[in-house]
Amino acid sequence: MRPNTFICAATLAASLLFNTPTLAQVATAEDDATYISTFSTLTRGMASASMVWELHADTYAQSIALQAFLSAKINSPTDDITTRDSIDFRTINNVDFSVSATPTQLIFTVQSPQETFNAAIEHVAALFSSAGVDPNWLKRQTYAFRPFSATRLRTPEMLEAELIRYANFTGNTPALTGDALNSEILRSPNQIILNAQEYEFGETADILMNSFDPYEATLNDTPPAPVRALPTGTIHLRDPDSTETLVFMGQVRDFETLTQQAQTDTLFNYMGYGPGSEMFRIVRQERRASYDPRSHFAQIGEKRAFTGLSATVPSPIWPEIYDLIAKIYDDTRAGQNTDQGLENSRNAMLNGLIGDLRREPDWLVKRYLELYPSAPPDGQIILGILDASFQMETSDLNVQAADILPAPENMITIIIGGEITPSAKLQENGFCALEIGQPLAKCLDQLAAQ
Amino acid sequence: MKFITALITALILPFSATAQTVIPLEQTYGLYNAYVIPLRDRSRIDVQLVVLSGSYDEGEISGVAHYTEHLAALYSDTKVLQQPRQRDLNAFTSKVSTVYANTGSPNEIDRIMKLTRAVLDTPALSDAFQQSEIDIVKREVLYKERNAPGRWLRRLSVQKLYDSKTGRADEPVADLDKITVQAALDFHTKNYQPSNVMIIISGDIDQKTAQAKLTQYFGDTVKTARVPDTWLDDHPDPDLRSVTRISSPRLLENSIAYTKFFEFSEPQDILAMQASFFIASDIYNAYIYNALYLDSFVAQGFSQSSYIAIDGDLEYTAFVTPSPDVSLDDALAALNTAIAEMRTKVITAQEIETARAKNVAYTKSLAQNPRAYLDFFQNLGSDGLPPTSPTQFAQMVADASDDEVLRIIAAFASDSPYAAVLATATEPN
Repeated sequence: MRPNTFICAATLAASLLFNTPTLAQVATAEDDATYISTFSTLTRGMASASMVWELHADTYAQSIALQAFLSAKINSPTDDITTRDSIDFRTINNVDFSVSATPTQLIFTVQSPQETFNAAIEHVAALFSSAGVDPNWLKRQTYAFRPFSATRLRTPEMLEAELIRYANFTGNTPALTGDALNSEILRSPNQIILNAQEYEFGETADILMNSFDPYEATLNDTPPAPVRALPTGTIHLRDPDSTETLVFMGQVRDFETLTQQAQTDTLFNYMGYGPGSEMFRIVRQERRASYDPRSHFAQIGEKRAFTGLSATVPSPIWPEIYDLIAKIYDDTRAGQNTDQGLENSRNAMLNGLIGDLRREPDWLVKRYLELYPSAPPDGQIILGILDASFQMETSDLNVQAADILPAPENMITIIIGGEITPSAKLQENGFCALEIGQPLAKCLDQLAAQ
Repeated sequence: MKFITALITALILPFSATAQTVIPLEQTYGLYNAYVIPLRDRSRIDVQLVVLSGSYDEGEISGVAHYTEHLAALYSDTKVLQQPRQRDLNAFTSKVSTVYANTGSPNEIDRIMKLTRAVLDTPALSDAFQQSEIDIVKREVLYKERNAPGRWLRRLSVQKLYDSKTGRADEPVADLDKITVQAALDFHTKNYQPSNVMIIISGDIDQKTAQAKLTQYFGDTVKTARVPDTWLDDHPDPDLRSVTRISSPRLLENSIAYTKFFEFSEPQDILAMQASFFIASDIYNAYIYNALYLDSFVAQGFSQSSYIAIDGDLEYTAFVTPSPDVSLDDALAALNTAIAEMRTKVITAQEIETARAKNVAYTKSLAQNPRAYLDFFQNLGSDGLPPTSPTQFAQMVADASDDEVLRIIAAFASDSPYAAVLATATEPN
């Protein structure tokens, strides 16, 4: 039986001079349907379609099992298409597939130039129409999606990913794997989100939905698990043999308002985004202590983001550089920031948003799903963070900085590598010594329990 | 079904592809060569200065080329910009070249050219700053090794192949402790000669303006002999079939780095071969990829690359992460078998056409990525060859003869020297 299809059209209006972008919906939605929304933010000439399945994964193991299965599915050969054919097709037609997930949704996105988009959609439909999944590909993708601890390669990106995993996945339900996932995924997507400028999508959604039947997923019998904050305190992984130490301080932040979120994003840009930032100027260029000092700001939910500062530094001087980073944070929080620097940081923040809208269809899908996880609303859609970001002014930031940024004791400090034990002051707010080879979650749980 | 879709006003001008012509500038003065590529659909101008020397041109101490790149870029900023050292380095060092890129709007062309010209000046920064920049290079090298542990294995396999550590040190950070400011200045004096430098100007600029600006800023340069690429004389032992076994906690998974050398018996027209080489490498890459990754599941991860030097020497590099239930030795055997089987494979016309189509698609995809566009321009330039635009390259791909493609594939498949490093990942203590 074919599902009911409802259409919501979205208008994202933004001008070259950064007028406020808004999204307007003009159709109503009902339950038990595949909802279709259309956006027009991608770079001209490109088009994308994202299929979204609502699937509750309260553990990261479940999330990566779902992603691995979906990834294996789109790589598996069919009766008519070998994997090699599929790869050649994607290469020749500049077609890009991506698989991603939130704790409550699994997302598949296909993106291509508009001139090859129809063929890309037909190709995707053919891949999904085939029954089952190749076991070798499932094995390969399951292995490929396995997580690594940040304590191995010790990169700030891996640390960020591990901390976000900890904050987002809080359940303990045993994960469904293997064949059990087949029926969970190969059902009608709950939403299809299309994105292109000056392009008629025609039968795109129909073609995609032809591959599936509508029914409820077992995983959704369990309500989504709540997210959590990171604990405060200090974690140290002592490694006397290391020459480099990763220094991090940050938190998962729930903002009171979208304006506060945009302001925080701007201030973290000021502290650590790119060569004009304080981290680059002071830690790298003045102190010559790190190649990659940086800030972190990653939106991971509605009015929720992962924030922090990090640098990889010579192990013997990590305490000194930690103090330097803490001073950069304190000074920014005290409002000792240049007007030009704040303006540059705001522009960098806006450019980041524009770049995501233009080139990252998956980013817009996630922002939309944070607001409308199951169905579009009846009324007008407004991605408020766009309004808040474009309307935010930097003139008040120095006055408000102490209220915008939390006190440093609300953050967690993580030191990976080095022989020097954190000072008593750093241990005041809670301390956990992590052994080499242990997961970071051991210490996060321990600090959370204190 | 009815879609109601409204438009978003453009926030960023799209970067679309139109025909691009690479025009050699008539007056190049002391420079090795200079080109302009007018791109009317770009609103900016990019000037790339390509020093035709890189890490392979270093002596005993690894990292001198990279450190020199830092000093030259920082000095250029210090000399020209009012706020020096406020931006990240606009340069990178490869095995065979060092590339500096400066970008701006058309009305900033003089500033761009001054920044470019200053790269050739002897770096004059404070002693303390120059010394401390070695620490930044160390941090950068450590950063890259941390983010891509495979770099180390690839270096080892090339080192074993040529029996030379030049540009292929085991532990480049350790070598950095031996670097001196004077070593970098000596490297600069020797290699940053105008006659060892190519300039590529691209973007919103015409030929006449480009020539005028080149004359204004490089008109005083004097032609000298080009710095010879002595590393081109490094050839492996024809009988070398080297397998080295190591274990390390630096790696996340068992891995093989494999480098194979092959060549033609007669001198070749390398420029004419470029498109055939791209098509041929796509075909043999596909065969090996099929054998190890798509058909057999020997490899969990697999990447390949090929390089053709200006004298016709060819280098094929593969990086294999075996599937968890496949041993390193079995994976290496599968790779060698796949290469050997290519000696008797019949390559069909359809395969060649598919490879052609992929290369044309690649040139089209560059339109979405201005950075990749610039890399494309300097790719051939780094070997001292005239740069090629995506449009010209697409035509070269269309014109490449099937016979030439097959000849290159046969050379690849030949029984030629290789070096493999089989690395077992161990848990950290």
